[in-house]
Amino acid sequence: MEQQQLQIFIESIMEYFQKITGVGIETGVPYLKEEDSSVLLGYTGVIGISGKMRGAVYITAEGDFLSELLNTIMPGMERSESRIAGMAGELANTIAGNAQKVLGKEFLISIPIMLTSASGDASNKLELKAPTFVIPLKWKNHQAFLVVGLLK
Amino acid sequence: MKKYSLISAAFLLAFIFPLYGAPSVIVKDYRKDLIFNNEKVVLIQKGDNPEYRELSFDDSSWEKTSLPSDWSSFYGDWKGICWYRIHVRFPSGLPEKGLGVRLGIISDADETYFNGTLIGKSGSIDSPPVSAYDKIRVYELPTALIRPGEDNVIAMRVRGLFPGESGAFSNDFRIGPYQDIFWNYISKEIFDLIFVVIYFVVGVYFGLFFLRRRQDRENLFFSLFCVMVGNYLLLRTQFKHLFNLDFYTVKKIEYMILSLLVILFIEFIMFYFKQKHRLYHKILIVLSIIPFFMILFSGSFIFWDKLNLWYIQPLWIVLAGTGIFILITRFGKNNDARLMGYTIFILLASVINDILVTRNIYQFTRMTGYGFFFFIGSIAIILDNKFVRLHSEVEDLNVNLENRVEEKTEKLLYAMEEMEAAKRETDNILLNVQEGIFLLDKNLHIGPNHSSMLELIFNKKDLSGANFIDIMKDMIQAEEITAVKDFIDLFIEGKVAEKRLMKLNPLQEIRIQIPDGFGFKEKYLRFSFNRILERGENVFLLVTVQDATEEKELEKRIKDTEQKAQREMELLFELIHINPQILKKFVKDTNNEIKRIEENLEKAQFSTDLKGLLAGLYRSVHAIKGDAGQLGLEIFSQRAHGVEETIQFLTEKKDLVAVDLISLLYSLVHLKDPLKEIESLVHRLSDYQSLARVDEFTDREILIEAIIQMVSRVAGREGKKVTIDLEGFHLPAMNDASLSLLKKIIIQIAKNSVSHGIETPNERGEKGKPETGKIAIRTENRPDGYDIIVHDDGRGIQLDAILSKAVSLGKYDEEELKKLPREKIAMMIFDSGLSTQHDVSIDSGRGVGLDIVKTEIQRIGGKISLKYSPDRYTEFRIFIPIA
Repeated sequence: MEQQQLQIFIESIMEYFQKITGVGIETGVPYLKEEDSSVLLGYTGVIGISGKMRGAVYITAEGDFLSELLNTIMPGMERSESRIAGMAGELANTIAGNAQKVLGKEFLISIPIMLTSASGDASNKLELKAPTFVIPLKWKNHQAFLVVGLLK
Repeated sequence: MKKYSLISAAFLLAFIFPLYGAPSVIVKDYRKDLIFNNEKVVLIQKGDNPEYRELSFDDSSWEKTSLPSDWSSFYGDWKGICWYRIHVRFPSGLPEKGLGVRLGIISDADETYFNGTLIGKSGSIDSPPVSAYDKIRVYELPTALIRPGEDNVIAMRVRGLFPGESGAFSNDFRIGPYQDIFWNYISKEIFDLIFVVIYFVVGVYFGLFFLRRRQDRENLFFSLFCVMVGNYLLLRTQFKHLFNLDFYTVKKIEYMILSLLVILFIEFIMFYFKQKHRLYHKILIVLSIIPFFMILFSGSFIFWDKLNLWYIQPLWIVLAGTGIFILITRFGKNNDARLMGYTIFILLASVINDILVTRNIYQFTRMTGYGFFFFIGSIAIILDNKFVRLHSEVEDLNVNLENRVEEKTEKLLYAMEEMEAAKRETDNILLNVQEGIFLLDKNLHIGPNHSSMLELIFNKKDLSGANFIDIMKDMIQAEEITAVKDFIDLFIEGKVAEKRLMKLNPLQEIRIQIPDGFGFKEKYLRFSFNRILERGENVFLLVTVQDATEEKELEKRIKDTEQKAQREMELLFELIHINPQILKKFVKDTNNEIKRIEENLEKAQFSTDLKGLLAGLYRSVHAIKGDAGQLGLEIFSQRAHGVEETIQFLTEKKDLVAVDLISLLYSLVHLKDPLKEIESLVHRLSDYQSLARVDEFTDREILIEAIIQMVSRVAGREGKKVTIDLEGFHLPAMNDASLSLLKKIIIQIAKNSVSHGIETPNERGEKGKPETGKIAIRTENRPDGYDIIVHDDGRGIQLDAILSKAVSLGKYDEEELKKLPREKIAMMIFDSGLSTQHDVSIDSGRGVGLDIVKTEIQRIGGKISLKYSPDRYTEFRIFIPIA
């Protein structure tokens, strides 16, 4: 995957946080991960990508990150496991939507799939392709990761 | 005497004349049956008188005649009563058996007397009309009335009704034993009855034929014809008189049958020869029907007779003519016609014979009865033959049919087997063929028989009857769908040639995405179309879909492999002259270095000291680059150089943020790729080496080898000539890490000596030095460690160049620098970022190299010092402590 394309994923998530929550998301030093090891927190929203490139993009966060986000977007809304998980999906969807706009029809983006730590060994289900880029994210002191593994 | 003579003569006359004066039938023997036909023994007298019956009546004046004889020759057309008298003489004595007389056929009624006593009567003589004109009269002669040896008289009182045909006009006239006469009479009738029975049997036989085969109407008409003829003949026998049937009715029926026979016969001929009923035949039929009704509704016997004479009989002639005409027209072609013709000729001959005989033209047996019998028999045989012929034809046909049915059944079975085999074959093909094959009808629906592969290719089930366009909608873009529709429409329309059209095929090769797990699977499909014509009309499209994904992937793999092979070849050229163990070591070290870089990146997370992070990374990458350079790994060195440049760019970037480091990741990925290739090549090379059983090098030898290679390569690149003296180089035993470190230090310094110390051959020549420079590396043991001394006979340290570089970097103030002692300035070559080389190259020039040496030495607690003499030498002394 081209650097610019990766940049699009990152920018789309930054824009989302700025626009929706009013609080920017901080990006940390990106790093590479081997194909067989993945960064997975409690909740993960995955989108599969195919077409010109193949692989997956996902955003993974802990429950506190997502419930805080939920609270910011819809204050007073009762928190539930499914709503928190839905939030991870929503994030992935946002990335997918923005990415689609920029990348065009050469990329085919699947509907988001939600994985939770309760789903078991979720890493098997992630079709990440080496090299996998990990971008640490921090928002209101909560940690999350954007992980992109695409192969031309 | 004369008188006597006269008396005797008179006596004789008186006696004999009465005795012999009347002609008599002389019966000589009572036991014999005497026929007296044509003997002039009969007397006839017109008019009626009761005395005429008497024996004593003098009939000498009556006309003499013979029998049979009608009275027309005497009395013309007289219709009334006439008397016949027949004198009979019997022998003496009385007969043993009773006598009888047969008086032939008398027209019409009679009363017969014997010696004046009534012995029989036929018909109603006093109440005309007709009642017995065809009856044969057989009467008994009562023995008591017989006068043996004397004159006896049979007197017949007869009423005639037919002009010219009245009286005892035909048949036999006999006298004799009654039994004989009766049996003679009855046996003739029985004989006639046999014919009648035969006609009936034949009639019934053909009637049954007809019932079985209704289409053969000739059988019906022949059957009716036979039955009618039988009836006619039956009515003509004497049985009607024996059984006292009503004569009038019987005669009426007889005439009606006669008129009907005409129709039946002509219809028979028509149907037998399959003639069409033309107007002429219809007229004949109508003409035949007319007398039938005329007789039915008329009570006049005379009329019937006239009708028969002047209408029916001529009609028969016309009919016979028509029949003969039909037969003649068929003569040449048909045996039956010929046979029928002959029989009709014979019948006609017999009829003509009888006509002539009845008219007494000549005397012969009457033949019509036999003629008819012959005629009907022949026709029956003809019909029967025809039936037999038809039957055998039918049998032949049946056998033929059976054979053909058998043959057809066999063929059918064979065809069915073939069809089943073909179906199995088709099913097998459709099941196993690697392409998607299906038929599209005009409504673009997929046919029920498609190959199993199709479902796999489209990743869909239940495709039978599915709309092709709907299926394609899921796979290609909306605008492409329109093109596909237009294309298929053109194909179905059938106006443009298939080959030309196929060039426009929008589905020639398409890439589709099929949902698969989290993502999609990419597939390449190729569609081809063929028209299928039925009776010249385009009814189906045969569509073949080929999954070209594997082919495409293979193409890509081949391309990738080719590229990889090319890269590997290039790499191999670089690697081939390097000792595999050295390479192995390089790969291991480099991998560790990259891992360290990655770990540092991962650890950094939200660190704010990005520049510090970058500086650390830079050193690692530079070390990698140095190592690669030493081994002459051009490609790898260049990639490492690229990473260095990225780090440099990031370091110099204003407002640097963490995410900017992504570009570094990309260049790192770029670096890792060739490393993997080197690794795999080294692996393979070392395999070869182990096969070749090359002796393993010692650590010192590996190190020396690496130094020599690096020096010779750098020297070669820079156009310098250098020898290395390693006489005094002896290494103590040490671990891998220490050896790696030592190698890094020595190589870096030696490289520095070649690049910065040793002059070009020209320069050396000008200085009066030998063209070839010399680098000597040796070790000196010390109590707490050892020294490594690297000595070159080059230009020494160029203080001015160091000074100007240091100034240009802005690290030092020019004035301050000038105040520093020469040793300090010289030692600045170990500072990061200071390189005296003018161009940045992959071997030197970024001022990083010696700074790594210094950092590393300091890290292990060692020391570095240097001394030099301009244009004479430079000597580095490194103290390595032993832990």
